[in-house]
Amino acid sequence: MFFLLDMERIVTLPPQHFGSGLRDVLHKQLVREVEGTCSGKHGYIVSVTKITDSGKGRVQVGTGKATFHMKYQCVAFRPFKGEVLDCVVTQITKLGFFADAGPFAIFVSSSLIPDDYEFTSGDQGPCFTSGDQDVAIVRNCEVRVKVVGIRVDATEIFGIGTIKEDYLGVLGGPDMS
Amino acid sequence: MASVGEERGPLASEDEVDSEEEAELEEEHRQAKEVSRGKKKRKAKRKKKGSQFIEEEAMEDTDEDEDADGEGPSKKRSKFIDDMAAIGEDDEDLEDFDMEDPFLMDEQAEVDAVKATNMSKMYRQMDTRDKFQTDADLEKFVQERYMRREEEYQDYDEDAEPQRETGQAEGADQRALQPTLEDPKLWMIKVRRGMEQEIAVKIMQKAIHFEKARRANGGVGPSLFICGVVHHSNLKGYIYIEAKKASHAKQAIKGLNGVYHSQEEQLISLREMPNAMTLADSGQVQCNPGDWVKMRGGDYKGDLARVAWVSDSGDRVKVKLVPRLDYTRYDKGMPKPSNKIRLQARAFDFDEAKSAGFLIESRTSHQGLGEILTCMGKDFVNGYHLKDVSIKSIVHVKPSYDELHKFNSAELKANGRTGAADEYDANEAYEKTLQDARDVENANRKDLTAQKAAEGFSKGDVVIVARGELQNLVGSVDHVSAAEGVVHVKPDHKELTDLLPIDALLLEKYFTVGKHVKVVKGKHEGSTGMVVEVQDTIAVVFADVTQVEMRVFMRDLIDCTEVTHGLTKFGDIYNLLDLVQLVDTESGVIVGVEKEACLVLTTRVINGKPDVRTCRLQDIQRKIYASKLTGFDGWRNVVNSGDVVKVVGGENAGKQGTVKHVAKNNVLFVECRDVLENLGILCVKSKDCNVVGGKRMGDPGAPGDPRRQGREANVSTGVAKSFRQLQRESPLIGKSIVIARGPYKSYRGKVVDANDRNVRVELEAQCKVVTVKHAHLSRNHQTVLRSNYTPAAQGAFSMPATVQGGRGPFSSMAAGARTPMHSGMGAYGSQTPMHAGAYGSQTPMHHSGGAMASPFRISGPSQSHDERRPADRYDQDLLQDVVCQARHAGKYGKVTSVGQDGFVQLLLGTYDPENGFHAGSGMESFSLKELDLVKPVENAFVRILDGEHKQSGAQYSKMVAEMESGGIVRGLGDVADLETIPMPHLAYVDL
Repeated sequence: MFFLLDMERIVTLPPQHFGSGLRDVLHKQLVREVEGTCSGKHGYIVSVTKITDSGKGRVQVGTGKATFHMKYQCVAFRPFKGEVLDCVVTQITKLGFFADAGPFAIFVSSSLIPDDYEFTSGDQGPCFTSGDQDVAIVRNCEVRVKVVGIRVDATEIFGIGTIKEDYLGVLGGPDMS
Repeated sequence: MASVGEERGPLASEDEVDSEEEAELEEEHRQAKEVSRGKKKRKAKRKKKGSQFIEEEAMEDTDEDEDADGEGPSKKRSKFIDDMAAIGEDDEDLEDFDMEDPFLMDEQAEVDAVKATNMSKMYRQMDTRDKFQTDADLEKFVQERYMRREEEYQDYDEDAEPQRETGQAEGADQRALQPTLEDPKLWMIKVRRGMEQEIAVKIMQKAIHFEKARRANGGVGPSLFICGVVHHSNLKGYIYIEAKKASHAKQAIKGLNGVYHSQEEQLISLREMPNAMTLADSGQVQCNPGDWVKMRGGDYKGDLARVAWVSDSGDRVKVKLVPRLDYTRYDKGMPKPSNKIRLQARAFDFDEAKSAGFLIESRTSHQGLGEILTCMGKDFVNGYHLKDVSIKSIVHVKPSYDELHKFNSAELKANGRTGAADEYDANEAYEKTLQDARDVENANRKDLTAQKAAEGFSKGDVVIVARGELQNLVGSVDHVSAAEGVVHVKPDHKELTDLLPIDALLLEKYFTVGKHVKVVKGKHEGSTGMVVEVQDTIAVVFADVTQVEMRVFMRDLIDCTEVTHGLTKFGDIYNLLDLVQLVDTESGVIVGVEKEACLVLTTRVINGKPDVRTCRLQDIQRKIYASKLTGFDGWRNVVNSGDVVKVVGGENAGKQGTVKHVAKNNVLFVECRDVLENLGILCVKSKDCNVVGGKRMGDPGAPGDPRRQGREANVSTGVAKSFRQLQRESPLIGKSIVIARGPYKSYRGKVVDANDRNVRVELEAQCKVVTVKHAHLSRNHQTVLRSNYTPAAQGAFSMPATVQGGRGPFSSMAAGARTPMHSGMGAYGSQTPMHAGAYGSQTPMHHSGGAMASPFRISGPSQSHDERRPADRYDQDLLQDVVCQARHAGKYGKVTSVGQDGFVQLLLGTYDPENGFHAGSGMESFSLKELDLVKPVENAFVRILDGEHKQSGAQYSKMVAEMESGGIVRGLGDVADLETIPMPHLAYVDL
């Protein structure tokens, strides 16, 4: 699920940037520090949308660096258990397949794939094909997955998903993505 | 083991007098040799097939004769005993049909009544072995006969089965068989331990001899009046003699060695007699068909087996095992390979065995085991090896899921092959395994007390009520009262909100798909993962680290919110954060451990990402003890492990951390607090780093000869820091040494610790760690230790040559080099305090620097009587930085560059054998032919130019001491090993 969050952060800037372009550098620094990070509470911070307040800088005694207490707005992506996500298949193994929903990696175990799907390693690489051969889960195809479990690490979130329910499964082939 | 003794005395029905005779004698045979039958077998004996039996006795004799030079006799003997037993049962069997009343006969009268008529016949029969001219004949005969016996026996057994289970009828029979006053008594004779069987046999032979002599004498002569001899393998040091009178028993043991004649024979009271002959059930493992066991030894050691059949006495079982067969080995009488290679366990392959040329016979089991295939002298059922083993060689186990699965799939695979079933179906195996797993669980539960069960739960566990009126209620454990076996559960229910005390036996752990769990028991212990499937008592867990699925019993799982890598030890020797050498020449740091695999962060970078590999034990070649390896940072400072470095270039620029390991090719593994991946370990090129506190000496990116500039100017500030560490880590630690003197003289062991006085040695022969004085070690080792621990030696590590060089003639140059380069004031600023610090730490060393070398110069070598080492004798590539002397000019210098034309550039300096080389200024070019290598001084850096360690020549080592045999060099390449290298192979390198 995506959230628009108001967050704060203290950003430190070395003195060589003090000057006319300071705000610019500061914003860039914030974006660099924040975007792409992940925390268990907020999930992945996808993008900083607005800097509401970049604060007044304070020069640190000793180092000469300036610290800024910044307030900003960002888009965060936090997957939840039970959430249904569209994702792209990245890897297929006998045990199941891995799919990415943005930064969030999901593993769908073969036991959570409908029973009529079978693992085959055909000419376009390994895939799961349904019994009537019309649907195949191959690399780069889009699937709709329901997240059944989440493990939050310090730097990433990993999930277990299922497509063994109604309205879940392949959305489109690799060409469509 | 009990006897098939003739407690009741032989039966004398008129029509069977002659067989009676044999029966008795043979009874004695048997009692002597015989062992173990259950008490229910203690029926009176009657021999219909007496003569046949004796034939078998004879066979047995030949059999044993052969054994003497063939396989171990014990094995065959036990086989024999079984067969004997089989006959016994067989007899009983017959007896059930046509026996009048065997119990009323007076045994003594019987003995008297017996005439010698059949003796000769018996001995004639014994000679049947002469019939078999060849071994093959004999073998065939034995096989034929024994096979039949066995089957009859088995046959009987099956019939007996229901009887055994209906204990009541059995009980009535048993009561009728209780000994009475009229029966012979049982005397317990004390004998030497271990000789029980031998003595029993001797008594048997005695009886035969007496009988023979008597007959030869026309029925006159002494006779043994005993009825039987029994030895019981559980009762060591005693045999039982069954006789009417004590004097009879005495007579039987008269003159026998190994009997304690001084001790009175003890009469076993009537009441105790059955007990004496009964197997002590409590002492023996109860085994039932279907039990899961593991083999204790032999080819199948540790393998899971399932009991298929248990003998009546309960001491022999047939187990089903996944065979470990070599289809080629048994072929054409090939000898067994001496080195024991463990064969792979897989189902018996009918086709393969057939194509290997084995004869496969098929028969139907009489024990309800289905079709038995016999091949290579072994029985196979459904692809399993049906092995007849003693109960002592198995042990009951709770099989893990994987074992069960392996076991079950073997059968299905076999069926698939032979066409007996449909194609091997993995699901089928799973289902079967699940079923088995369920059974195991249930069996488990039976043994479980509520208290024990309660211990398995802890606060926060999600549980489900499996039985009882609250069945299917899910809740979480609030607290556990283990003493009462009660778990207080907070129900997860709308209306039920109160804490419920629930008996622990009714509860089961409950995991839903998606739960993050940790395995606490079994093969996967310590791994964490997420549940992807729940099947009954089994959960399928997708492991975090190895990313494979594992099937585990739910009881072995606990909830685990945090991701732990679990174990810190991998295999026996590898620990988390160890630097290891992988099989494919790659090296890396272990950053995650699971039971079966570990994650290794290698030195490589793939697609801009650090390369983390999942490695199994076999993928790792060895551990690298590289604490002595050094690298060079971007400013050409020496980087040791333990130094604090700042990453200035590459992917991880801006990070700061401690160098955990220095790997080959100037790669550092840096531990950063603020890095969260891979346990905070970063793999960086050392040139992308700066040692914090290091001096900036040259621009590494500048054209010209950066390497030289850096080296020349290098004052190893980084080194100062690691004194303490070096002191602690004696080079001897981890080495295998032989103690030279003292109480542990000539013991071999591994050094586990060392201080300035003692070393701790883990002895190889004895399982203990002992403290050994330095003085008790060999001189070689003492030298090494001293160089490490005497205060002077501390200086040694500061590389006196370089330190002095850096400070003396070089300081000006260093300053000179610095001037044009200080661009950033930050760099300058950071340099100033450090510089002083470096000085400070160097100062004391300086004083010791001059003195230090002398105490260790044991053999007092000097340059003069060392052979010359012309520089052109060695590989040019290895000459960089090597200190040389120009033969004619008499100048010393170190090689800064080697030209194609055989000329080298030398940086001139001064050299004396005490203090080593001090680089000065000024360059000169010399021909290689002009130069001799200078002999290294102690504690100098050296490079190995020749010999078996030449391949590590590009690296620096340190010569710890010089001995007559050569220089003791530490740190060959990346191994912190001590090696003695012949002096001519060593080149003195000035860094």
